[in-house]
Amino acid sequence: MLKLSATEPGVIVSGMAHGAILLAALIGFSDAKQFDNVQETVPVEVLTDQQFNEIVQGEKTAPAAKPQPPRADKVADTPEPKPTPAKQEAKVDVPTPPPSLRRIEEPEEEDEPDEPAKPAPAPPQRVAALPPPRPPEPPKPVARPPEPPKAEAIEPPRPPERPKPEVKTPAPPKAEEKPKVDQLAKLLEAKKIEDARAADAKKAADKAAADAKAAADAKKAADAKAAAAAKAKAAEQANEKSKFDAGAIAQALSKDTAQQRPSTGRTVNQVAALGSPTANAPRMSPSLWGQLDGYMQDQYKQCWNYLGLTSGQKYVPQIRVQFNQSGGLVGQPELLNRPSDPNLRSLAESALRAVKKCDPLRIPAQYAPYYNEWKARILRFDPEEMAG
Amino acid sequence: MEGTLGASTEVSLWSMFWGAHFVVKLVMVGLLVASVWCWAIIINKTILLARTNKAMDKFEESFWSGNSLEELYQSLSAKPTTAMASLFVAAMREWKRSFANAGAAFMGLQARIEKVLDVSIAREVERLESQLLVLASVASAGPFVGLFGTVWGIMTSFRSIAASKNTSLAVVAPGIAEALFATAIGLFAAIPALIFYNILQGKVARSQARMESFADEFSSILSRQIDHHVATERDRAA
Repeated sequence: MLKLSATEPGVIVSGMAHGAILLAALIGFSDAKQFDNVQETVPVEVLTDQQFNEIVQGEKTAPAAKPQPPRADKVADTPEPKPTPAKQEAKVDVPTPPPSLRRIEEPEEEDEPDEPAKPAPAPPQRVAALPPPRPPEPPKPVARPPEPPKAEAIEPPRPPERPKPEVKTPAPPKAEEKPKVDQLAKLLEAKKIEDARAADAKKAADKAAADAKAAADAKKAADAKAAAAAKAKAAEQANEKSKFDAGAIAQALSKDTAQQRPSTGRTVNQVAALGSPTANAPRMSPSLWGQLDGYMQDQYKQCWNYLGLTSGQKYVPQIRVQFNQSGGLVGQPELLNRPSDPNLRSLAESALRAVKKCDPLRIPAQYAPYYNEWKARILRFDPEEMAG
Repeated sequence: MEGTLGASTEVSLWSMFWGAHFVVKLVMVGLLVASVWCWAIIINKTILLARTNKAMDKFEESFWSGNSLEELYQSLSAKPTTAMASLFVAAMREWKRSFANAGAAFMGLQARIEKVLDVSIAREVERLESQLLVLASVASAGPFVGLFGTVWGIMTSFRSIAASKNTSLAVVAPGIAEALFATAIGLFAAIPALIFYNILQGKVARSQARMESFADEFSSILSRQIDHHVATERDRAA
């Protein structure tokens, strides 16, 4: 097939050539050229004050916006999953923020009396503090010290059941406590039902323990053994649930994740943009424009005296003028179309002179709000029109 | 930053080859070998055709120089011949063999000589044309083979994207560059093969035409000689 011979040097020559090409390619391709690090260009549009004002103007007649529920683009598919932390953790976590964040007065009132004595001094103050959503927290620290008693006399398997026997025992503080417990339950239900229930249970248990010490009901004592077992089981379950979940915490903390989804809520809530209340962008109507033009034309006619002969060429000098609020000139008037014909130069110069002569132009006060629109104008000095 | 850049921008030719999948590597090596072979054939054939052309020129010059055919035959039959010379030697051998056994019949000689010339032309053309089909095959199949390597490489790189769940271009690019490298080699082999196949095929056809025209001329000369011989024999007999 292919022989290595002097008469047919193809294989040798070809092999060598390929080797050379590969070598050259290896050297040549040894490093790929990197792209220039070009900054991405962002299209920018320059807006004048006027345009910006028009954009943010909004509706003036719109009704004042009422405080709205948080914006929701979508109806939530499922009720937001709520973590069910254990009682102990909840107690540790919760109490620290509320005193500082919520009500400053109440904690001051409550904290001091609460710590020394649990139920006795508390009632009057708590009645006053019923509405606030955060009263449960202060008692919690109280609840922790008496944990040993809890172990002894934790009769109630269910929090709702517990208050009832308390009602029968006509102790005034308890009567006051009970509605409070109910309200607390309601308030907390919105946030963490189980947490609240657990807290209530404990509180009730504490109170019951205090009662038990005072009254030492035989009935309760009998129940206690059975209830203690149930309670212990419940505590075990709570401990299982209380496992530390870093992911859930991170999720709760981060406001916006990498791929943000539309916010969800129970109902869709979209508020129309009302615009900035301070921005205004009045627009001159065509009739106002006509009037203004008439005013200006009259004044310039008086200032302009041009007695040139109208040559064959039609030439209308155009002059860019800038006014200040009171109609005075700002800067030099600028001739936009300079004539090539020297004969017409006198016409252009006369127009410029007219502009300078009428320097404080009398602009009626009604145009003051529209200053943005007429502050820069281009005046056309048409000899035929002016002469007429 | 520096480290990741260094890792991702290392796309030299060798790393592109070495990082490729086994199948893609096989395709690349095969195509490279095919390219070497093609160029070997191209070089050999070009040299062969040039030599053949030169030999034909030289032979025609001496053939039409007016020397006696006998002398020419003596000088050529001693050494191996190519192209036209081999035609000439084959035909002369047949001629001489017919005259060797004295009163041989001249009847079939013309036909025999033409057959011999035809066979010689076929042999010569076959020699010139051999292996040109390899070029044709590489030219038509090379791009497909390279494309196969590319598709395979892209397939594997997509699979690794799916596995690593990272779609940034810096991760994807080396795999795709590897894959495209296979097509590049395929084209590298196929394009010269196609071009030179057409060129060499044309040259072979031209040589064949030249040999055929020479064979026609030579056989007409020989037939004139045969007629002459027949006439002299008849005269002698009479």
